[in-house]
Amino acid sequence: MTDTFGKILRKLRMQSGMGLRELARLIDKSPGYLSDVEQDNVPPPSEEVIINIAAALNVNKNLLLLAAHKMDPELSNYIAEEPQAADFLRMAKDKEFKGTDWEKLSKFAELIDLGKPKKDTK
Amino acid sequence: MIVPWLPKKKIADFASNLIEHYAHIIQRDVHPPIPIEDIIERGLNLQLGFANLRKKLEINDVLGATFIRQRRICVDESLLSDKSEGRLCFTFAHEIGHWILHRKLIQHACRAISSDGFIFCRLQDAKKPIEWQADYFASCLLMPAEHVRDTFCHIFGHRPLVIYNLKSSFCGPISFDPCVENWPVIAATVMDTGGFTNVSKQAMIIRLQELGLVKNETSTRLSWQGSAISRERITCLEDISTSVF
Repeated sequence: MTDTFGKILRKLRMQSGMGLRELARLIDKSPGYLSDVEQDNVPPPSEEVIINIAAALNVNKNLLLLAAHKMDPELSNYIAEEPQAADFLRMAKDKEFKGTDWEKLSKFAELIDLGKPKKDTK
Repeated sequence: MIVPWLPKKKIADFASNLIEHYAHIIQRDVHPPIPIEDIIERGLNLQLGFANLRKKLEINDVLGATFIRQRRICVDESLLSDKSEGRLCFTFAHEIGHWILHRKLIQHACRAISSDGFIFCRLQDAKKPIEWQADYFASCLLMPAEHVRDTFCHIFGHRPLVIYNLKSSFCGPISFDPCVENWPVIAATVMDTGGFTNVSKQAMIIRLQELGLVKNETSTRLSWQGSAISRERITCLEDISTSVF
């Protein structure tokens, strides 16, 4: 069974050596709320808050967004602004692309030099 | 709940062993302020939480709770709004005391009645042995004897401060003329010098008396209630405390 958002968040916070109160202060939330999130008593926070948490803990935001089943707002904005990207994703969904398909596609995109060089995702 | 009698020495040993265990985990020595929240999370691998316990447990004077089966220590959110670091940390340390000293008793009692085990701590229960033991553990954990002694001796020398008067009989240094009125200054000076930033003055003066470093020969208790000094006035006294000694 995969870990819940709360468990992943607590693990990352502990790894970074940051206290619950300190993290709560950095993201401008109450320690009570944050402890509820860590114990999965409430749903994961909004995308914006998750990104703030990732920045405070200095971890990859995608780790936490994925754990919360949320999409990076940058990504959703990009899809909204690029209708062809949305069409492509819809096609991928219809064709039920799996992990290996996406890996092949990424390699292919690199091979034919699509788009700009990769940015840091942190 | 009735708990077996425990000698103070044994309770102090439990606290000191926990600090050693934590020091081993973090691979460095531990000095005041004792990182109580990290001891809960890293040292004991327990969950730490803040919640509206008063609402959740429907008890209006609850300060903290230890949930044995869930391995969770929780304090009431009201302690955060009080902005009293000392009170908050003491409550955490007190709950650790329950975890170390009483969890097996609670587990055993709960098995007998098939119930989830948890202890909640109320202000009105403060004098019960189970709460007294957790309080004493908390003071040993947050104010380790050797650190308090070293700090006290560094400031006041090797003789205890003996308090004979309610008020200062002359305007000399506190070390020569300690009085009931000045207890908050004595506590604050030890706290400032020793780095005990997460304890209250009240907790420190109790610890100093417990360790025999301050002896109160008057019939007035060294407490906010017992002292004639007001909380407002202590601010001024703290400001001048460095020049007093």
